[in-house]
Amino acid sequence: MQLSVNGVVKDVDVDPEKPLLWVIREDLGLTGTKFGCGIAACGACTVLVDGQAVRSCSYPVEAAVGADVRTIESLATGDVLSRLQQAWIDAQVPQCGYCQSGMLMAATALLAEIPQPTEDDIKAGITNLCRCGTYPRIARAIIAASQA
Amino acid sequence: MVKLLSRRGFLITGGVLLGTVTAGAALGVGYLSTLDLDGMTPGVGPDGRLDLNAFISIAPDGQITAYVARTEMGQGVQTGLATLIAEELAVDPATIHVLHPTEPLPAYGNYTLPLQTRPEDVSGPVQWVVKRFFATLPYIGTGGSTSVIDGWTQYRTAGASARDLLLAAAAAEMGLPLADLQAEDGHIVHAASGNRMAYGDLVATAITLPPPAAPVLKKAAAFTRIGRDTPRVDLRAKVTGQALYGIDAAPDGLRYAAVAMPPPAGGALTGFDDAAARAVKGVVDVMAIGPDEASLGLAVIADSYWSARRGVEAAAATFAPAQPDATAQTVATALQALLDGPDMSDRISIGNPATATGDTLTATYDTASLAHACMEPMSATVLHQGDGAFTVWGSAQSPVMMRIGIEKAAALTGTSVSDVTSHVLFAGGGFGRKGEADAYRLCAALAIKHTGTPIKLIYSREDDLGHGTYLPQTRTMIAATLAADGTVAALTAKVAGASVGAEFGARWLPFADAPEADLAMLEGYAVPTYRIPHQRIATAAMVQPLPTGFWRANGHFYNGFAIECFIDECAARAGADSLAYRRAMARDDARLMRVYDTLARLSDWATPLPAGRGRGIAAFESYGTMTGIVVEVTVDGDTLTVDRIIAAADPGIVLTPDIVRQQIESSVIWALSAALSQRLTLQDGLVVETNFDSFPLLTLAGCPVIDVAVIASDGRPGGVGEAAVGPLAPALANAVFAASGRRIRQLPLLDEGGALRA
Repeated sequence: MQLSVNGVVKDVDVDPEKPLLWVIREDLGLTGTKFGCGIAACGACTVLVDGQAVRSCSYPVEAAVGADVRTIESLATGDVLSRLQQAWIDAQVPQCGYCQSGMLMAATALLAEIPQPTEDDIKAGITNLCRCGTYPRIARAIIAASQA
Repeated sequence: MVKLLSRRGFLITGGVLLGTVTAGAALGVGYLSTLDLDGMTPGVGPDGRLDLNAFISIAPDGQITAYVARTEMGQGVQTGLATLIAEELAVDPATIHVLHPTEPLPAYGNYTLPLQTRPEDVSGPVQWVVKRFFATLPYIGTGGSTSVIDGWTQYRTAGASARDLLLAAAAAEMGLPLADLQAEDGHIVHAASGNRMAYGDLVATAITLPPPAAPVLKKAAAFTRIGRDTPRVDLRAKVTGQALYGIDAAPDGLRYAAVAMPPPAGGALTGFDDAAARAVKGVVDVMAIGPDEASLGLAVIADSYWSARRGVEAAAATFAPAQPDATAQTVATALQALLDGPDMSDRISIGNPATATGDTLTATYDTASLAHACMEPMSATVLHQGDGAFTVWGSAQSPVMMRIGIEKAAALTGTSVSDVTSHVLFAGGGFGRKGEADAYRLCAALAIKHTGTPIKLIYSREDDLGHGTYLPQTRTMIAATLAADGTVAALTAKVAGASVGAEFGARWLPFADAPEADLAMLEGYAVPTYRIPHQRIATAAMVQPLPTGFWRANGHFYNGFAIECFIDECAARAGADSLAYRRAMARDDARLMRVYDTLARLSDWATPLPAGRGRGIAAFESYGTMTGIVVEVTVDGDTLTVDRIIAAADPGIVLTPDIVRQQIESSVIWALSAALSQRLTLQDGLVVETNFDSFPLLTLAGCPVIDVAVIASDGRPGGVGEAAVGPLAPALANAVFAASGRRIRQLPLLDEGGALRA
């Protein structure tokens, strides 16, 4: 089957039920998207499929055929970081960093839908889990990016 | 000699010390004295890199690489230790490329963790032998909030030694006296003429010179980088998906593995469907590990993790649990029996509580078994090259533990292990869990059977939560006699739990702490907060159905809950304000007073809150850092809302203020998750809560406002990765009492329905 990932069309020969997460990580070698729970509870695996945030651990690859799939690796343009990525650095958000790919993809989707989110919008829109406790900085970074 | 943990001169258990000295003496003083403990010798390193010492290399283009032998698991250790180098080397820390070295050099050893002493305080012949014995292992490991304490002098010395070599090289190249030169921003500068030479142009000469015998370190007043907010060095990698974690290792020719593991208390493998597993597309092997009666697990190797996982499901392995009837209630009963029985060991004995007369009160506190739930589940990638050679990749807290896991697996089949190359990657959380070797043992067993093929074993979240190591379940009975003025004249505490030190040692090491000397069980008591003239503190350990391991802040969490809640109960009995009561009894410690003052001010402590709202406080020293927390809550019937959390921490000298702040925020949210809702229940020998739908983490929406004050002082640096964990749960429970009059003596505070427990 053919997948469009980060603007590049790839041929992959996989079981159609294989979760998109593992296709991205193993067949395409893009390890920025992470495995955290396997039941779509934590969001570490969040990618964008046609602009919508999707938890790829629970999304069969065949559902992504014909769609525009974007992973964390697509946010920066060469060396130029996205507003959100720069806001993440300015607020010193990441600690262990493992959840942050998913957080950034979820935040990207949120800002695309709500360009000027309130704190309540952020609380409702960012349900990804973080074990290191970076939530207060994530909220600040999203607001800062939305005002940049 | 100042001891890190206990004012009573506690080092490591007598047995371990004697064993170490004996083993060290057997190696011979002659051999021991040749060990390069300091790692300050310059030269050409692996792959022709130009090493000013074991910690710093500089390329001809000027790129500086720091070799930091500590696992970056979120706590900012790479940035912190690079900042120490940068201060003396006169460079911007942000320009340093930080790597975890692969060579197991003695200079990379962590001495503070096993010896529980600051390196600066090591003295005397016994310490000389002990330190050198540990260097032969060497124990390279990250944990116990020791990295900055252990590296404080060492990394600055590395920077200063490198600087002095560069100065000497410049003096030779420029033909100028050393006294006229200074290091500035990656260059050696001759101020009078303005001539300067870049480090990259000097390093080839510098590494041929003898290192300085005693490089002079800057005084604190001269610091220009320590104490400033250096951006973390790992930020860019972690916001672009470029950061590589253990689970991301992908050597060529990789195969993947999944595993079904026995119940955590152990169990026999009673059956599995080999044919069904092999019938799954992509599966290349099915393998039982360990003897069936003491199974380590049933593994499936495949061409992808997902196929391996499906293979494990198809195998439908069954195990006979060793303890099918154990529950948290049976453990509580056993803990009570320990408390009531003759096997409590006296650990702290001051004065004589029996002689104190006055009002008495007593209480029992319970805390639950808890999992780590690192965001990155356990994994291990092992390649057995044959002839005793292995390469291993992972996010382990210690490359030594990676090797030990491999050795344990090799012992199962009599395979030799002579040469292990360890690649330590970023850890998606550690918290003590990634200091265990279980994943490496399992994976190495697979790799040995498939020599020449690297194999990556990934734990599912269910494997990770249900088959790990855990904070022990504890029960504490605590009693006080109050003096006429209401302060505590006598305190007796009996702590029943489990000995992580004994269990960890029994799992992996040739020696183990005696349970009655377990250090974690004394945390919270060993460094006293209050002047209490009569004290008896006793501990006892049992083997619980869930194996126990190091968990962020360890005894500071469960003992801190009991101590700081009980002090609050004493304050209430005495009719005193919780903060004033603490001040009246506090030990003479300027940092403690500053923390109280800061909390009082930031929480507006003196202004009463309306009915239904309340504040609670707790404060004590953990790992050399004085931390206090005030929690503000609203209680409406059985509904608890955490409105605000204020934390104040004084870690002595502050390396990077924002990293300290990050760690406090992190510790507060960690402890809040545990104190509110986390528990583990056992059924038929298995953990019930095996994913985030049942083992809850605090969410962004549920996160209260957290205000953090970092108080820098002149004292030697403390560890900050865990220090704010201990005071949170008691401050929260004390706030619930202040708001509602309900004294809850059990964690978690909320029941399964999310209501305040009765």
